Amino acid sequence: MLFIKLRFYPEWEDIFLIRNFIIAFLSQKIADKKEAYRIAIIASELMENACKYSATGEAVIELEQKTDNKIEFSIKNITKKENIEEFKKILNMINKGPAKETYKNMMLRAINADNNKVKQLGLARVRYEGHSEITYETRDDIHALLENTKNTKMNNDLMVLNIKIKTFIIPGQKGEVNGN
Amino acid sequence: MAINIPKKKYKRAVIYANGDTVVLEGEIDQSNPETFLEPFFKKASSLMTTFVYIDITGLEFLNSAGIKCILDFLMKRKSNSRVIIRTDRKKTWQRTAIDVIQSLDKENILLEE
Repeated sequence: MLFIKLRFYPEWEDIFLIRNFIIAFLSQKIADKKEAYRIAIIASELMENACKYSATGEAVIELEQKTDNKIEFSIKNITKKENIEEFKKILNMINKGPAKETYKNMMLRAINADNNKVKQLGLARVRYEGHSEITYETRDDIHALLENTKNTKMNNDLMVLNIKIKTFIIPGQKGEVNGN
Repeated sequence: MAINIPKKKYKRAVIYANGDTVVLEGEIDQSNPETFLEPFFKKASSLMTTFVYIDITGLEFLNSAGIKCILDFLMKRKSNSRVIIRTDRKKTWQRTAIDVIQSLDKENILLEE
């Protein structure tokens, strides 16, 4: 089954490149472009979060096709413990109730709010538009994501946040390029 | 009054307004799209009459920060005005995201395919 692992520095301009790589790769390998695009939206929103909240080091995206129509992926990055606590609260809110209703409520909250509320909108979008189940893990050991990072100041306030996504994919006409 | 705002490019995004239509094209994926979308929508809002089209048929990607900018425009527009969002239903994200946006004010936010 298909497997992608990308290790990158969480920099905003790279999101565009990785998103387009995911679209091109999935649409050639397992699905039509519409499905590949849906997965890429999930990845893009999560990469944006990684860029905004990474404290140091690298980020890693792993995408695995578990069965013909089941996709799991994860994004890991190093962030401050306070960001993880905030993420937990937001995810609890996002995972409550029907996905569409939650997305609508998060849109209402985002109106007139500061940019912080956009994070909530992004996760609600991942759940509803991505047809996804969102979970997470945390780890104290940040060294695995510091392999290529020089001059890193070690800090007890940092942890690895691993956001895990389960979704499906409808196998389609590979290589179809119309529509997204 | 017609809404005429010249075409401007911001990285992969192109925005302009012509007549009664506001057009968003390309990819809105910047970290702070409000820096160019807020003034653009503010100007469009001041020039619009009782209705405006938002044409996103050429918009390939919109991040959640961009969705927030559209939401702000829709909810802050002149009272009793109508917005018709012109979408490309072949683009799945437009169907899923815009349907939810429309549900916020079904009477005054309409969809055209």
